Amino acid sequence: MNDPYKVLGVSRNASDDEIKEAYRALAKKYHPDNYGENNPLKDLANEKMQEINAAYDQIQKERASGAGQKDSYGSGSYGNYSYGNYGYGYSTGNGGTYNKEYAEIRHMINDNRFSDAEKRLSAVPEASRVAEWHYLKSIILMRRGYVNESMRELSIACDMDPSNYEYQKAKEMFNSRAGKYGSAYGAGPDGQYRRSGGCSTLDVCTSLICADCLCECCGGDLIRCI
Amino acid sequence: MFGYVKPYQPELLVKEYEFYRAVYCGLCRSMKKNTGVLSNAFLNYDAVFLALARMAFSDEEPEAELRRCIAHPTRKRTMLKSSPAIDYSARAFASLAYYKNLDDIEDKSFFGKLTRYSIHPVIAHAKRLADIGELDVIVSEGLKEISALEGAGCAEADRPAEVFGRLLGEVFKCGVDGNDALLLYECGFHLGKFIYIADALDDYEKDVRENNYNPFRLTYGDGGLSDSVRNDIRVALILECEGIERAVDLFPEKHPIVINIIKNIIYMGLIKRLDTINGKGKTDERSL
Repeated sequence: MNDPYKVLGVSRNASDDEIKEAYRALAKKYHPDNYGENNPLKDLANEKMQEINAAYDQIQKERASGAGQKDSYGSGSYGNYSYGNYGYGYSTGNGGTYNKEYAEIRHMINDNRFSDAEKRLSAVPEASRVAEWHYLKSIILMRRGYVNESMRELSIACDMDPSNYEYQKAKEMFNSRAGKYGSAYGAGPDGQYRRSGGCSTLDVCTSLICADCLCECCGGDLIRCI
Repeated sequence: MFGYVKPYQPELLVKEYEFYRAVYCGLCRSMKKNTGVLSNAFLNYDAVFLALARMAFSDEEPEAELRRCIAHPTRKRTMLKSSPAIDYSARAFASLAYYKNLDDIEDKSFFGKLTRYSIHPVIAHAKRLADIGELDVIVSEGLKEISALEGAGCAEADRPAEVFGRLLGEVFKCGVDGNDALLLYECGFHLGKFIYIADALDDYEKDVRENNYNPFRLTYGDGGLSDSVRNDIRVALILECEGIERAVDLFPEKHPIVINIIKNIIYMGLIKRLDTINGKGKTDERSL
């Protein structure tokens, strides 16, 4: 087996806290929630997760028996994560809906019967499509990887029913996921600094002086006074 | 369609920046050697990304050398020596450029056709030398499928984007098997979707002016895109970045510098480019 310290990316004399920290960060990264039901990489991520769990367990064991250090936290690894229902999308909880038709479609989505659910949705005449219709459509599109259309449907749902907690929360969740990206650390509030373009007046002067010197070297003179 | 995939320079370490440039120069040299002189005029940043992704899986340690080149005669430049990753990327992009050009010849106006025809011999020659048989069908069929969707006035940007994603996924994984192929495919798949949608967003105003196909014109009309619509598209694109990230997180850690540059590109480079499209954060568009 690989060196458990290497797997977690910590040195051999790292403190227990550091190891725990490293373990948590990795567990979060490869958590099955990140690799949803239909992500083709979920098996690979699962393997990686098991490797990390094993490494963490082994270090805990070694430290508990070796130096007589007790595992003061009393907590093992996070154990086996079960695949959540949300993964690459969002959960379909019962957001206070009483419409029987939509409740059934929600069931289908929860059972991963997307094409059935989609058929039922398309059967709803266009005029009577309420906010929930757009919300459910958005979930199905997201599961199929049509993120762009999915976001559009979600926005429609939010616009039609601005007071619905479930829709707003889904939207907020995506916005906050998006917020993680593009924020450079330590480079000003907007994450970027301004680079002034072109050359300043001072640059012009120095360039001219340089040019003048060069001319003088060759016997000519560009600017008489210097 | 090309040139979106660039690192965000202020966040690169100096050694990463130099490495990136060395890959770029190495790729240019490889193109000259493998796909013919002049073909390196079609070199772009996306090809560098492909080279980096393939490099992440190779056991070879990247080696650099100092050389002179025609474009920069005054000073010797560091460039990576040719390796399978770099040569593959050079050849794959020659094929892509060829089919893209053929595709453009069909749907451009007279002057557009003229410029495309004038570069055609160089690209056709490059493609002949590149000689990647497996890619021919994938790329030509993929682009044909996209043209068909565009011709039929498909209003859902996701559908042609998905086709382009599949195409790029195949390009990324070509010639690799097992889990590595899966990871490369996912990386290329989400990148392709990102590029297609970002490109449609970028071209929206131009397409409205010139009355060309654009999925966002069909969905949101010609009256311009509101801020909330732009935000929706931005979030959708960032979810694609997330898709790439999931794959890159599982890349082997053979060459940390390569992984760091790739992460810079997906965490920041792509988004900065996107914000430039949306008219926010005018980052400088100078070359790296």
